[in-house]
Amino acid sequence: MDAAAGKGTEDTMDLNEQLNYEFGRLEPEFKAVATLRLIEGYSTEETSVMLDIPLGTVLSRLARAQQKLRMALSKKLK
Amino acid sequence: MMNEHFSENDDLLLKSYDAPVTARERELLSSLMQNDHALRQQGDQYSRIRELLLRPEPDSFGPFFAERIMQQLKQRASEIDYLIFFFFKKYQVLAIGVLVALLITNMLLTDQLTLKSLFGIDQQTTEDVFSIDLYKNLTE
Repeated sequence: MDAAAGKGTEDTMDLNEQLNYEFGRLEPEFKAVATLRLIEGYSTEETSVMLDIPLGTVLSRLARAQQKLRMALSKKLK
Repeated sequence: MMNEHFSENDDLLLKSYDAPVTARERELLSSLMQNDHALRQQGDQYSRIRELLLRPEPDSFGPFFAERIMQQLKQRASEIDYLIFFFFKKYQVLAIGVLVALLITNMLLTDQLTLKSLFGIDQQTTEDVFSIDLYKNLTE
């Protein structure tokens, strides 16, 4: 029921709105990395230092976050 | 196997956005992008997502900021001056007309063509002054 309602809402959103919506649904560890790197524009090294995690973890979380966003937005990105 | 391979390419593509890639990786990615339409499309989609997410640079003041502000202020001041000038200009003719009418009336009432008569200033004669003094003495 909720999923159906959510699906309906996503259909009426434009790309920007759905991107914000999907971004908000990311797991906190992905969201933190993506916020610093993709929204605030910090380098991966700076993100690594700020979050106190290895550079490799930053890159892998960043990749997973973008993959999730792309999958969720695939219909509207075409 | 195919999916795993696809995922590796995807990871390589994403890595190229955020980390330095080796010459071999760059060559591989370039070759993949030329031959793999799906990967190229994914690349476009990632670029779009990143473009939408990146916060725009805060507005800069731009070149000649102070000069532009001063120009705006001067323009605003001259607009106000212009409005005030036209507001009062409407009444200028009316005011001059009233003044001329008053001058003529005063002149006609006093039957004299002097500066004092024009402005309605009474010309007191010696008799007038004496009569005023006399009146004052009587009342006291």
